[in-house]
Parts: sequence; C-alpha cells; structure tokens
Amino acid sequence: MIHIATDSTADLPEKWTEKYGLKIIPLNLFFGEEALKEGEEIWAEEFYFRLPLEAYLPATSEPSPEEFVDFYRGFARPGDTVISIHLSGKLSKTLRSARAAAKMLQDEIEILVIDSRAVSMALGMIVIEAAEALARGKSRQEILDRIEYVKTNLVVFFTVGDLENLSRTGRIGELPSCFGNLVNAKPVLTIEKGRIIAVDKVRGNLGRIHRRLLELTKERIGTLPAKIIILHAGALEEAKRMEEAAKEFFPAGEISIAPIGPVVGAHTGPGAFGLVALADPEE
Amino acid sequence: MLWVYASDLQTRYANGEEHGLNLEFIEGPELKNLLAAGVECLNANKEEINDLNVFPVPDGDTGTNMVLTFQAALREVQQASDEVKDILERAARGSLMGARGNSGVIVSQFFRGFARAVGNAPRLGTLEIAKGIEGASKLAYQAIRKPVEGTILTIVREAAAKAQELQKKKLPLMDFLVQIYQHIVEVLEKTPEMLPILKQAGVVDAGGKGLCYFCQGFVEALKGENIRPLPKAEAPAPGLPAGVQSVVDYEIEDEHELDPDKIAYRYCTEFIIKGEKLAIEEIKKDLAPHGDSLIVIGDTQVAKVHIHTNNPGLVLDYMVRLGEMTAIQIDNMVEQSRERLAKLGMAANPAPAVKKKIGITAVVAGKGLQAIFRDLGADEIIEGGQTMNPSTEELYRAVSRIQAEQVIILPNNKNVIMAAGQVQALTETPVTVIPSRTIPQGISALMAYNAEAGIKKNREAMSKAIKSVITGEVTFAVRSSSFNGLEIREGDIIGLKEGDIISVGKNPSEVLLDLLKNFLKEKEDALITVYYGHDIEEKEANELEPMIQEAFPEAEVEIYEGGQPFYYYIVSVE
Repeated sequence: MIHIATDSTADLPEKWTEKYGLKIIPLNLFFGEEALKEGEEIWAEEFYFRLPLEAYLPATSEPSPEEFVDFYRGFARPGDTVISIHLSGKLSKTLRSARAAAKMLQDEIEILVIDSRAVSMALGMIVIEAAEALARGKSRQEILDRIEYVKTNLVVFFTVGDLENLSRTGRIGELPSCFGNLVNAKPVLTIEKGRIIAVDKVRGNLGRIHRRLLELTKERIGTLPAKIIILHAGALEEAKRMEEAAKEFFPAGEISIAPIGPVVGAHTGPGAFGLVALADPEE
Repeated sequence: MLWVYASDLQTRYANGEEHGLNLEFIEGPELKNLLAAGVECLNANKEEINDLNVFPVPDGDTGTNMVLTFQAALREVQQASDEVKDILERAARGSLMGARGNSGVIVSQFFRGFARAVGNAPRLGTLEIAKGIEGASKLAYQAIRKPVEGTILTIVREAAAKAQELQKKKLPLMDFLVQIYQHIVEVLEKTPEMLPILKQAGVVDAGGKGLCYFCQGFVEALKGENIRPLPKAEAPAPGLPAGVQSVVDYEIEDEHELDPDKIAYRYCTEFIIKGEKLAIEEIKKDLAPHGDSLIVIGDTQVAKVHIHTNNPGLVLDYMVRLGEMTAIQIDNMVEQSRERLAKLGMAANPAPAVKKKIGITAVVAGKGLQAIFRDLGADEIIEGGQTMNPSTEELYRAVSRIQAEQVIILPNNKNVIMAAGQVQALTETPVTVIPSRTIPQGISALMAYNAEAGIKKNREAMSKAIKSVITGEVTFAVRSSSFNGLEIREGDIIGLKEGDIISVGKNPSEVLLDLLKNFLKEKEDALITVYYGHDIEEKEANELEPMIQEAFPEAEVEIYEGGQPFYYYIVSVE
C-alpha cells in the first residue's frame, strides 16, 4: 500500500487531509518555554491572535528522528511504501529527521523522502497533486513523476510585512533586513532551489504589490488554466482583495484562499501574503 | 575680448617685439610654466564661463569643473621631472583623476590623446604639437558616444585641422600657435550656429570658451608677456598657503602601506615652512634621498612638505636652515598600521575580507536622500551631484572602498555620467555605470537591483527601471534668461520636467503643483513621491500631501525629507 505523508508546514486545510487520507507530522512552535504542536495544539487563527500579545518571539523546531519513526509506524505496515514529502531542506532540518527515520526503518517500510524545495501551500499543492494521482490509481513511478512535474512548474511569489523576521531567523539570503523601509518598499520574494530570495521590490500601497505579484505570475504561466491559492499570514482582508485582483488577471483560474500556518508564520511574520499557482496543461 | 586680444597679440608679434619670436621648440621646464599660465587664464575667467551655462539652474558649472580638472593636471605636473613625456603623462593622469563634469572628462581625454600622440619627443615643436592636438581630438571623439558639434569637441577638432595645415607651411612656432588660437576663437563664435540650444540662449559654448582661455594663457605666456611662477597658478584657499589645499587631498590619497613589514620608511613627516626665498625644486632634490612619498608644494614664501623617512631629524635639521616651521607632525606608520590591523582584527593572520559580489555607489546630496539610498542598498555614497560634480578620483575612491568583485555606479546627474565612465580606466574592478540622470532615476534603479542576480541581469533591470519614472525638480533660477518662451528672472522659482524648464513662479509649492499638472491627468492612478529639500520647513512639506491629493484624487502621494541643497522639491511620478 502506498501512503502520502507530509508535515504540518504544508498548511493543508482539514477538508483535504481528510479527503485524501494524508498523514501529517507536526512541527513544534515555542512561545518561550511553552511548546505547541502545529495543527494539534495551535492553529493559524489562534497563532496570529496571540502573536502581538506574547512576551516571547515565536521559535520553531523540527520533529526528531524518533518522532518520525513513531509517526511512520503509526500508519504504515511492514511492506508498505510511504512517499514522504517535506518542506525545503534549506529552510528546516525536518527533512534530515525524516531521512534518519527512513534509514532506521528501511527493513520494515519503504520510505521515499522527498525534498519539495517549497513550503506552506506550495508544499501543500505538491502533496495534493501526489494524493490525487494516488487516488486515481497511478503507479508509484507515475506519482513520483507527477511530484517532479509540480515541483518544477509551481509558481510562488509572496511578500512580507517586514523582512526582519526572515532575517532574524536566517531564512533569507543576502538581503539586509532594513531594505527599503525608508521609502515604504516591500520585497517580492520567491522560493528558488529551496531558498527564499528577493526578485523585486515595489513601492506604494498594497494594491500595487498585488498587481506586481500577479504580473510576475502571469509572466510565468500566461493564460493557461491554473490553480491559484492565495496565502496570507493573518491578513484575510488583504487576501480577499488580492483574490478579486487575481480574478481579473486569471479569469479561467481556480482561485482559493488559505492561511499560512503558525510555524511558517513565525518566520514570515504577520502580514505576509502571496500566491501559489500551478498551470496544468495536462488536465 | 578674446577677439581683440588675439589680434592685439598678433599685431605685437608682427612688430617683432617678443622674445618668443625665434622660438622653435618648447622644452620641459617651459612647458610646465605654459600649462600653469593657461590654467591661470582659465581660472581668471571662470565666472564668465559659468555664466554661459545654458540652463539657469544651480548645477555643476562648466567653468568650475574645467578649472578643477586643469588644476588636478597641474598638481601632477608640479611633481614631474623636466622631461616633456613625464610632464604630459602626469597631466594626463592628473586630469583623469581630477576630471569633474563632462567638460572635465573631455579635457582629460585631450591630455591623454596629446601625450600618447607626442610619445617620446624630447621637446615640442610645430610637428609634435600638430600631432598632439590631432591625438587629443581623436581620443576625445572616440570617448564620446554621440559627439555633438558646436561644443568643445568642435574646437579641438578645428584646432587639429588648422595645426595640420599650418605645420606644412613650416611656420615659426610662435606664429603657428597664434594662428591656431586665432582660428579656434573664430570657430567659437560660430558655435551658436551649430548648436540651436546655444543660439536660443544667446551664448557661445562654455566648454569651448574655457579651452580658448586656456590656449590664450598658454600663448600669452609663451610670448614672455605675462609669465607667472608655477606655484601661483592655483588659487590658494583663504588662510592657507598656496598649494596646501591640494596637499590635503594628497593626504587622503596617500594610502599608507598596511603591512608593517612592508613599510620601508617608518616616519610620516609633515610640516609647513615659511621662508624668504624657498626654492621648491631644490628642496625636493635635497630631500629625495631621505625617503619616499615626497611632496613639496608651495611658492617662495611658504611651502608644505610631506615625506616618509627613517630619520625625521635629518629632514627637520635641513629645513630649519631655510625658514620657520609650523604644523610639524611626525607619525610612526609602523605603529599606526599595527594598531589599525589590530583594530581590524587581522594583526596575526590578515585574512582577506569576504568580498561582496556586487557593490553599489551613488552620487547623492542631502542627508535624507543619502539615508534612502543607503537603505535601498547603496554601499558608498559620494556627496555631490547638483551642488558639486564629483571628480573621477572621488568616484574611484568610493569604488575602491566598497571591496566588491563588481561595482555599480549611479551618477544620478547627467553631468556626472561621463566622469563615472572614466573610473574603469583607474581600477581593475569591473565597473558598470547605470546612466541615471536624476535622483528618482537612481532610486528606481536601486529598487530594481537584485542582490541575487548577476551583473548582466541587474544592468538590464536597472537600465530599464530608470526609464519607468518621470522626474520633476523645483529650484530657483541662478540668472535671468528666457527659455521655451518663458521669461525667467534671477531668483524665480522654476519647475523642470526631465531637465526642461516648463514652469516659472514665485512659490515652490505652487510651482510643484503646476509641474505635476503637466505630468499627470487628474484621475491618474500614479505614485507621486516628493523629496523636500533643505530649505523647506517640515510644516510646509506636511501641507503638500493634502494639496496634491486634492488635485489628483486617484494618485497615491508620499512625502519624504530629502534634505538636498538648492532643490526645493524633487518629485517622481511612476
């Protein structure tokens, strides 16, 4: 039997995890000494509500290899195959723990650990596409091919309210945290080869940023029918406005909104928003 | 003026009064004097040349830029031996380093072209001079992508052609030079016919006239009429002895060896000497064996001396006999460099610092704007732009300070672009000049800069970005003139769109609004960014936003303190 597994940073809504029977391992979020399992003890809405009230800046940690062993054993039986897709190895040590666990269990369960090179709903989209392929009865190799296809064709652009968070937690490359604050400039970020990098900057109000994010997306996917998910870190109103703009840019698009979860949100800071898009000529 | 002078010169020459009559060659020592005389004549007429600037806006003036460039050449010439080759090469190097503004850059090309064409000639006769001017003209034309006729370029080309023609006639040197000079003065008078913008403003070309003044001084001195001693060529700053101002520059330039083991002479020794009959050349000769990095600048009354030596006592002992010393300073460079290395944390094992891939330097005036440029990622800011065009050397130093594998320069002023282009000649670090002509263009270029991308992508993106913004400026007219059908009085507030005067008024804020109305339709969804200058009160600036917002309800308005001098407002629309 083939299982699809991922971690909580895929930010997958419950309706999808249930629909596809996805297995999710939580990452940990800390407010000072208080440790919380993402998706089990803390959720997006609560996190962004608590964030401004907390004395501590949030910290995060990956599951240990032992937790992964327990996780895999919890649903897979000897002889099963697990396709375990996780957030970028450049952003977290989760992947390392998964690989260590896979090695420990190699005589029992076949565990294929895959670096999505993505995070949040970008990872989520890869996972859903894999699950969809599995549900349609595709073979192990066809599922892996599908994952590879989505990985290379996924378009991700986002911005953050303040680069300081990414910079503080070392999740961004050469960009200094103060970039363009004085002239009210916002960075346009993407994930490339698993790293967060800046591709542009935009001055002016958020409407201009929505437009720029959508323009960049359009440059990549053209007018192909696309699945578009708008992401936000506690900025639902902003996400809704962007959804309206997205409808104009992509009249044929299948557009939805999803929140960025606590662990990713701890790094992007509140106010981050962006989009994930997948053009799919195959479907 | 020039005309009268030229014919006067020739009349007297024809009467056979002057000592230059039978001169066949110019030798090294005389060449130094002649260059100095040329620069002095230019300097004396600097203001007149400044007043020829076509646009009545406070900007780097042609006269000032040319004088500063020529003076930089002269400072180097003063260090030269008496060999013609050495003198010309030093003039070329000095003017290259000191080039300010576009006219300065062209002057530096002249010197370089002249020196190259003359080569190893031990003295300058008509043949060498004709070759030299030809070389000067060729190099200057090569250096400029789109040469414009009716400018200093036309003058030098005409000088070259005339020199070729006269050289074949085997004229005496004096006659030869006077006729070339006379010819370029005639050509100068015709520049308004070649360049409509000059005609409209009713002036001749400023750079061309500057060159004529230089030539006038040169020829005049050759006639023996007005020879002035070399050191005086440079106008001394008030309160400072002649040449000291320039020595201060040298001190900055004098980058002492960092590695203590490599310092051959330990004591950096410096002082000013006042005396009766100081012989600069003799002092140089006598001090030379005592160390290196020797600089002696001044005149017969006062001189500044700088030398690295192992025995400052001997130097002072020698000097004390010549006059009274002040401002004596002796530093142990070995000690200093150890301290400096320790401070840098590299005393034991000086590991090379990690170089940035791409560094950025920008020319910006005003505290607020400088902070904005830094915030957007500029590594080094060069003070200047509208007030003073930085020299090639200043740009080069900023490039060197960055310590990057590649450096991008944002000139942010049309009159700095060429000097920035010269920097590559001075450094091995690859330099890319993004030709930003205004501050908003520079800001847009920085917005498009991507630290993750390579130089090629960045050059493309930044060059494209500078075209995406419209720049407006509000300043005052430095003199009365008429332009684009607008009557402008000195002191009027003028509004410029992309460098063209399109609005005149009495109140900066009103002119700004008038200017914006020219850029924008009422309902346009644009981003208007205003950077207010040093002379605008915060209160006044705060009143701008509602005023602009009212006029353009669909636009987004942002107001920042720029702190720039002379320009009340710099505004961008994108």
